[in-house]
Formats: sequence, structure tokens, C-alpha cells
Amino acid sequence: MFTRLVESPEPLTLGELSRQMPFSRQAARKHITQLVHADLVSTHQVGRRVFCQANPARLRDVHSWVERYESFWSSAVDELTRYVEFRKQLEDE
Amino acid sequence: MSNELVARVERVIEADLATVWEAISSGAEIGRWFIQADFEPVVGYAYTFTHEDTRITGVVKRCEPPNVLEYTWNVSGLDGETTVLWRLAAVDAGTRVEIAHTGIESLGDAAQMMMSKFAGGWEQALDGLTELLVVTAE
Repeated sequence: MFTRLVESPEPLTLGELSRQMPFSRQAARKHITQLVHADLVSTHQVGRRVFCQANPARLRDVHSWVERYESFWSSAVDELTRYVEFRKQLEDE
Repeated sequence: MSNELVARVERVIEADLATVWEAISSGAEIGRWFIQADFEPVVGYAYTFTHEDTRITGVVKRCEPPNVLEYTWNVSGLDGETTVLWRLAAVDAGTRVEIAHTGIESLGDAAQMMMSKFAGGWEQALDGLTELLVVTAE
């Protein structure tokens, strides 16, 4: 759903989103609420219609978080590798 | 939402499965390459990792030796719970290690800063360990 919003040149209503997705309007609303909570989507209401818009700047932040965690775990695995390989050397000697 | 953001790392290590499993699941072993750890590979065990003033706590959710280890990961002073899943498999060249860290969007920017700080700190500590092991081996 988030991808659909990022690709859309203009804000989409909840109704439009749920029609394009294989789930109910209620499920769409719930999912959007989570995206709003994560600051990935902003909404504004016009009459009875709720327009939803992606927040690409926030998406960039979030991508950099993923990158940071990946680099963290990558360093950890470097250390794990060095450790088990040294252990193996010690055992071989 | 929490399943959408996953940090993944995959690597093949030239060591046998049992050795790698021991290194990631025994508290004493974890302390030798990663972080000071009070950890037991038992489902339900509430573990603590300590690095200087920071504590990481969580509970072991899955433990299927020597292949699967999953634990929750909470950083002291920060809201939000994340989960770390290790999968190990024997391959021709040694052991394939896969790590998937999920739920990271539940932590804020402070946590992200802290993680980058850790990475440097641990690397230094472990360089020390590596030197020690080399000296011992000589």
C-alpha cells in the first residue's frame, strides 16, 4: 500500500486505495493508521474523504536505519568470522 | 508494518556448524567476540548484553540447535522492541549465517545513533581480542 502511495503523483483517498488492494476498507484504514504512526504517511480529511500521501523524506530516514543496522550486523559477523576461524586455527595447532 | 523493515546480513564462514552455533548461543562465547553476555540458549531465558552503560535485554523466543536462534532485542532507555533471528546452515564451504533484525522502525533516531556507536566500540574491543588470540597462538 505504501508503494502504491509513493508511486501515485497525487494523494489517494482510503476508498481508492482499498479498491486497488486485495483487502477491505477497514483493513486499509488500519494499515494507514500504522503508516501515519510511523510518520511514513500523512492524511488530511476533506468532507467525508480521507486523502493519504506518502512522506518520502521519512522513507529515506528509514532506509538509512536499515543500512545502519545492516552495517552493524555485518561488523558483528566479521568479528564472529575472525573469532571462529582463530578458534579453528588454535585447535588445529 | 513491523515486518516490512528488516536489516539482513548473510555470510558463509569457514567453520563447522557446531563451532558457529556455540559462538552465537553460549554466553561465555558471545562475550569473546560480540558483547559481555548473560545468555543461555533456552526458550524463555531473559538475557542481558552489557556494553559500557548500555544494556540490551530480551527473551529467547526460539532455540533449535544448531540452526535457529531468535531473541527479542530491547535497548535500555529506549522504547520499542525488535527481534533478532539467527539461522545457521551447513554448506560445502562451512556454515552459512543469516541474521534478520526486524522491528527496527519501532526505535527512534536515538537508537540509530547508538547502534552506529556500538559498531565502532565493539570492533575496537574485538580487535583487541583478535590480537590476544594471535599472541596466544604464536
